[in-house]
Amino acid sequence: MNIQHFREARQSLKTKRWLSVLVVATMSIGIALLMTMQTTVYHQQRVPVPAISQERYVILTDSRTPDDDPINFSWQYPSLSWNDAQRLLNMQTPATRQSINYNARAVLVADDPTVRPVWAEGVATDNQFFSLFEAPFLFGGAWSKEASMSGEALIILTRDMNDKLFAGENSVGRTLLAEGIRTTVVGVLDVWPIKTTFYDRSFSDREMHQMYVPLGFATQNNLMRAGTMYCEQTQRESIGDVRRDNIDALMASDCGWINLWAEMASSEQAQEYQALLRQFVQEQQKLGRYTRTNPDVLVANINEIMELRGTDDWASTLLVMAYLFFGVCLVNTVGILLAKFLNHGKRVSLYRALGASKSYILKLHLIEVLFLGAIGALFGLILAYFGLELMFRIEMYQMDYHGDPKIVKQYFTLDWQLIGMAIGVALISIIVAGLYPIWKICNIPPASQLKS
Amino acid sequence: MLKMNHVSKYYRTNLIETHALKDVNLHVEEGEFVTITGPSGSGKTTFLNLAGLLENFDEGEYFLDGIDVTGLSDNALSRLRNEKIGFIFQSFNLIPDLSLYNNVEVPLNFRSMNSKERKERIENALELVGLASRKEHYPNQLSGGQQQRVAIARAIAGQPRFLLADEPTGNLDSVMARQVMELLEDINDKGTTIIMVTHDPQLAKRASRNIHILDGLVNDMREQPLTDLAV
Repeated sequence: MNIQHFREARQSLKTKRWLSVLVVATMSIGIALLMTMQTTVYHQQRVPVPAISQERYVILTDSRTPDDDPINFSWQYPSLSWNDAQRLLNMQTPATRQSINYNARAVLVADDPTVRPVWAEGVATDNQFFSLFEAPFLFGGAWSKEASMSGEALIILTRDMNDKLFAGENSVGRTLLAEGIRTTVVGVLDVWPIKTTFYDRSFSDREMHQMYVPLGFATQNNLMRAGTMYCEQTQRESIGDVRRDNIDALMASDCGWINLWAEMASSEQAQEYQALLRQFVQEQQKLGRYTRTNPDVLVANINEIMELRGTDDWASTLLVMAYLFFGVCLVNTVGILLAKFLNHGKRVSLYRALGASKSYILKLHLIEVLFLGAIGALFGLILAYFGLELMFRIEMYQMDYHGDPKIVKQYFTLDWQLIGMAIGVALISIIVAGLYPIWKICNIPPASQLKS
Repeated sequence: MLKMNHVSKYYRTNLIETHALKDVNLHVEEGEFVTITGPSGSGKTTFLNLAGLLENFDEGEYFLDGIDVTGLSDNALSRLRNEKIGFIFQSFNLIPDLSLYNNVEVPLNFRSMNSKERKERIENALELVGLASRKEHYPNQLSGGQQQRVAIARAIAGQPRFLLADEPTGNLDSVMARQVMELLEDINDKGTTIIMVTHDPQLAKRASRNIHILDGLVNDMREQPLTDLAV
């Protein structure tokens, strides 16, 4: 290809300009709808910590009663009870390290009186959590192993929360009140691009956690709990409010509220852990627990969990519809390109007579369709941007504006990978759509249309 | 220069086979000005299309400038058309959205050539047809005769060995037709071989040689006058 091909293709775009506009409009609308839906599904399916997701496993057992329905989806597994989690932590397992967590919340008050108190959603966890999930620190670091259960009042803030409470300064060593308790900041997390809180299995896409506290501090001070809790009716009644009252009773109960994660280097180790887990459940059955017949167990890494979690049905359905609509757009594009190219028939016939080879004509029209595809992709991306903005607003409205706009917005944002995909899809599609019209125009015999 | 031996061309459908040209034997020497005459449907255009490598023939041999064109690929035929042959059409076939300069440039785009030489060739061709001063104009700003002169400039810009002209004066009035004819004669005088289809017996007389085609049969008037054939 040479500059002449590009000059000619540009010239050709200008002839039957409205047909060129129609091709671009058809491609743009198809790409816009496709990318709008693809973006939401892509972000939902995106693995949060891809570099380590293969080696981080969630450990789950089905401790529910025989009356409960069978488990069909991984999210139906209850979390572990405090005691089961402790037993598994203390067992000899193939895991190189393990970590537990549960969701906690607290009112945080900075010493600066101009800063308003903040209701913070967070996680009570051990010191292994941060290294296990490679959470990035902006300032400071994780607390010590001893501090995990000692009850020491320590806290790690997210960057956003640190911005709110300490105006973005390095707050390590400074204190604040957490549920009225003087608490020392030991670390500030940097932006952690996980998009969803996978580690508590809530996969929340509305809000991210804003603080992390040691398990000992959270349990000894009875910080409020959050998230899904599975409790039998009788146990629930004896505990009272499982989120607010009597944490000692909750810790002693068989209620499921603790998430256990393990790092394992291979799937063989995971299978070994799974066998161990089955053995553990069988032993517990002998003690009168795990009353279901052959209770299920699950050792699944983050990739598998994301796969098992799947995508919202409505998003998947709309994505399929978007693909179908894009297919219709492509069929239309074939027709429009055919009309446009056959309109060039006389010129092509003349070119052939004057010495243009079929390959010259092919290149000319290939460049033209690629031009049209690129312009279509560009306008499609602009339309997709507005489409995503609209979907973001609808989503915020649907959640009564309870979500953090910054977090929700992530699900409706095009990134470079999606932009590349849009351009790739547009170019490949338009080449496919252009194959028949280009073949037709290349086979116009020389001088066949020059008589009149 | 142009040599056809027993060349035949058929058009076939499911039902019938039409002999468009039958057993053509023709030899055109370098520098000749040959006119092709004959009634409508006699095979003149088919002959011109075969000579100009725009269509394939079914039987025989055809040597163009010493090259046997039988079985050549599309690319090779395209290159031969581009380098050896210049075409002039009855309806000019200029591209309306290109300037005269760019119209003349079209056949040069299909070969590699440096921009200086390309510019020189285009300007010389336009100079020769007397339209150098209007190179930035567009075809619709010209009269029919001027448009045909641009078409001639386009045909000669590539410096071909042959010019094939299909009724180049058919759409022109007599004054313009005469001007175009004089231009072709000038080009012929400079050594370019010309084969021209015409209906006009007066123009046919001005050529060095006339070939008459009737029902697909080619009759070289130099060897066998039409009156003899009729008898």
